[in-house]
Amino acid sequence: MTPSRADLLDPSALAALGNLELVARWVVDGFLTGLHRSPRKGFSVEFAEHRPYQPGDDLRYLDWRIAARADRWVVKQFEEETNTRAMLVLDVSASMRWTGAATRLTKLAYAEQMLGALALLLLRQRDAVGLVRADDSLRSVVPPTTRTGQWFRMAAALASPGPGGGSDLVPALAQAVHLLRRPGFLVLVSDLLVDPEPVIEQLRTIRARGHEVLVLHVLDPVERDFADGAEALFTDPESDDAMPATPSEIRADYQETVQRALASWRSSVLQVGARYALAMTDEPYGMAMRALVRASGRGGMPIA
Amino acid sequence: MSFLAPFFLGLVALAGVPLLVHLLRRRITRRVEFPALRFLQQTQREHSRERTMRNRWLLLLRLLAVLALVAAVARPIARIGGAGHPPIAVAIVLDQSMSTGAVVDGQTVFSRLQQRAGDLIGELTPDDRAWLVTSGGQVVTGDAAALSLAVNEATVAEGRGDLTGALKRAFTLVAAGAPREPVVLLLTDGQRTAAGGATDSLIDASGIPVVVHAPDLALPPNRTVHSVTLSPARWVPNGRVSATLSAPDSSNWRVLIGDRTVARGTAAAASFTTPVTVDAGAQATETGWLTGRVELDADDFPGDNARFFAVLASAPPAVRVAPSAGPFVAAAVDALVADGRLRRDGTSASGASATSAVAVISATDIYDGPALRIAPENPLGLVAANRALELAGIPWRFGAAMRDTVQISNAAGLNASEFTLNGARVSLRYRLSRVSSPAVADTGQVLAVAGGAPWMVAGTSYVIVASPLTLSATAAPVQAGFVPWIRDVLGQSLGDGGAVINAAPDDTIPLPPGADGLELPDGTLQPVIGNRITVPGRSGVYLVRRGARQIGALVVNPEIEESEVDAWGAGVWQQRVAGTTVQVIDSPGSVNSAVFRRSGGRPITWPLILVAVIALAIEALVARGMWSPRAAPVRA
Repeated sequence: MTPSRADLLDPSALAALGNLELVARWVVDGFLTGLHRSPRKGFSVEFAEHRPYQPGDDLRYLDWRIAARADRWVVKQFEEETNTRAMLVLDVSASMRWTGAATRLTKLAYAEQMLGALALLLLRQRDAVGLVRADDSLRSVVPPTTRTGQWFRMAAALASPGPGGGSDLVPALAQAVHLLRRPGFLVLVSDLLVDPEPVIEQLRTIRARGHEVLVLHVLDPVERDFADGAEALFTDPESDDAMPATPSEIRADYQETVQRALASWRSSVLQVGARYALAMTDEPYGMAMRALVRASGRGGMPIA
Repeated sequence: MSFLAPFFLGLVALAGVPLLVHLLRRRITRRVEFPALRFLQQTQREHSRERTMRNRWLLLLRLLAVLALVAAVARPIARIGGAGHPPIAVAIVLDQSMSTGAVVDGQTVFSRLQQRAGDLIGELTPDDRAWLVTSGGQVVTGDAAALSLAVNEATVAEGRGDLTGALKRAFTLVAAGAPREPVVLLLTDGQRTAAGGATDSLIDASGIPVVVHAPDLALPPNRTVHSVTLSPARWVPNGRVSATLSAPDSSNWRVLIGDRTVARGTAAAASFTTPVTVDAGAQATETGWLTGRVELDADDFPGDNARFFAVLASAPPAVRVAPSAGPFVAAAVDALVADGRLRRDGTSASGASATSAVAVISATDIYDGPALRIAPENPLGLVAANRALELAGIPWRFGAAMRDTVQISNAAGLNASEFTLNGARVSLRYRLSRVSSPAVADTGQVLAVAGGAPWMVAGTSYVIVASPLTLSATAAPVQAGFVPWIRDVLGQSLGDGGAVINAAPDDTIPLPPGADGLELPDGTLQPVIGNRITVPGRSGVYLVRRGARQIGALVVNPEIEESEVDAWGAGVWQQRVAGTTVQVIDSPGSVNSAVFRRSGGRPITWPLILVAVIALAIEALVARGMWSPRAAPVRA
């Protein structure tokens, strides 16, 4: 691991350095470097373009002619065929706009950065990528395609502000599946502060249609650990519910409840044949992306 | 259970603090947005019963801690457990009578009693209350240091004191020490006469236990001067001193006037009940009051080896009687002159010149010297009488005549036995009223009243009678007490005195009319306010002063009963004290245990503090979730 790898930096520190597009590029580059692969577009029989040689590139693709003639070290890149369609489903409900600490990204910001990087990674592989943003209704939809400019459409959609209402993931998942048309990948990024049964049922349906499903469960560390503090009235940003509690009294029991809930989500998701990963907003993006790649379940992400 | 500081029980209101905190928890003002509320709610559902139970335990433990601390501050006493001796309210009654000054084995009985008192004070705790009450009337309270100081500073008195009164006072004091267990410790030499006579009423202890300690000692043989008699009452200039003595062996005696030995001899052995009498002549070398003492050889019972006396060496007071005073007065003076009580002055008293002789005159006569002024028989003489009073600087005036028949009686506050005309009828009197005059410091004193109005008033140099001393005005001249009354008025009230008052230390006695000071043996003057005084505690002779004149002598000697060594025994208190049990302790080592065993409950302050600490420790464990009062939580 090198310190310059963006996928291993603190998300909040990284977000302070640039916008979503820049951050996504740095993360993807760092992530691919970590996979000991050159961040090339891909290698196929159809030549696409040259690019400067980077350490770690396969010497088989070095263009020796240019090296001999112009003394420049470049590698050849080839057009790959698009063989995968992926839909990214992002939960933009009010609960996702929350952070437990002022120095930390909100769950939504964290998810946007990470999905941007994921979209860029897939587009570089010539995979068709689309996006559905939803809270209790669909907020924006970007159909999957590999066309030029898809990355910018995705970035613009991710960066657009969402209303932040309640959570209803089922219509968003249905819309995403509808846009995939043929078997592909569906990535759901949410804090999953919803009733599990309808979501699991929808995932079961999606799996039955032959799609691969990856669920990235995003949580703030405070939601997992429940920070200490004085007694307060705790309110749900998505509803009028409120409850008084003293953290010092309830903390241990709360942590136990959260762990059981996370385990329940994990087992339910795996049970329907999908894959599940947990991402904390204070962890580097690379850890979440690796979790997606290595997530247990059938069918890995098609990362080159 | 009872409390030594019950007013602190008001702090029980602090028990409301945990309740208040418990209720205030329901009024939360801080709002925190928390998306994972569903997890909180689920936790609450699953653990609500456990948490409710824990909160109730916390509330109970906090209440218990507060109540235990409040109770501890109130210093409770209960008949359960506890440490140290139970708190007591003890009054140490210390006999400091003359007899405690007896020396046995090189140590006085009184110093032994002081040691016993000191031993008890040394074992007192701050929870106890203690008083020191002496037979001399002193009452001291405070901490152990103050009491020890008072015990150490106490000295043997030269009289019997009032041990019975001290005991009664002790019962009152310890009763105020509730809820501590009251107990009275009487430290005495066992002189039975201190407990009062067989005819005296019993001392009511009202159930307060008494521990009596009298050292079991073999008392030394005692030489005692029982009494001293002087004759005649005035020495001109010779006289005789007669004394009664008792001693287990023959012993030397001396008569001293001042520091000069005027007679000496050896008395044969005599028992206390049959003393021998010795007699010696003496001569005064100067006029005025002579003070002296009769002494025996010193022994180990030093308080009664000497007895003081006083005698006036002078001629009787000179008297002039004016014809206007009436025949009855003249006859009475003649009788007193014949008896040697008075001396007739050679000059006429009706003149205007001042003289040191006492005059008996009509109030209308003008006279500057000391005089008995008798109201005029004719009301027309009142103007002249008042003018004469004004000229003499006397602040009294005659008023209207009153012709109702009333009786004469002594004025309130004066001793009835001192006034011999009590009950005599009066049918004519003039109203005597005091006038205010800034030039006259002597405002006078009412000595007798008739019909509620002053009948006889006196000042430093005058006595005024409101009625003429004739049978048409009063029956007083034919009363048996008329001549003694004339004697007292002319000899003591107006003359140069000669009255000798014998008293024991700390007695309360009346003084002659007009007395305003006591001249102590060292010559210093002690002012006297009122007609009655408490006799000084030291034996000796104290001269009674009226202004610059010495009008009498107060001779202070201890009661002879104090010297009766055969009458000792502490068991007498078991008969004299009623309403309780009296435990007589002879052994010094058993005194403290007897006193402390009397009390009931023990202080439970520290056990209560321990309860509070344990409650707070459990509360801390429960609050931190380290210990649950319930076995397992109920899952929703």
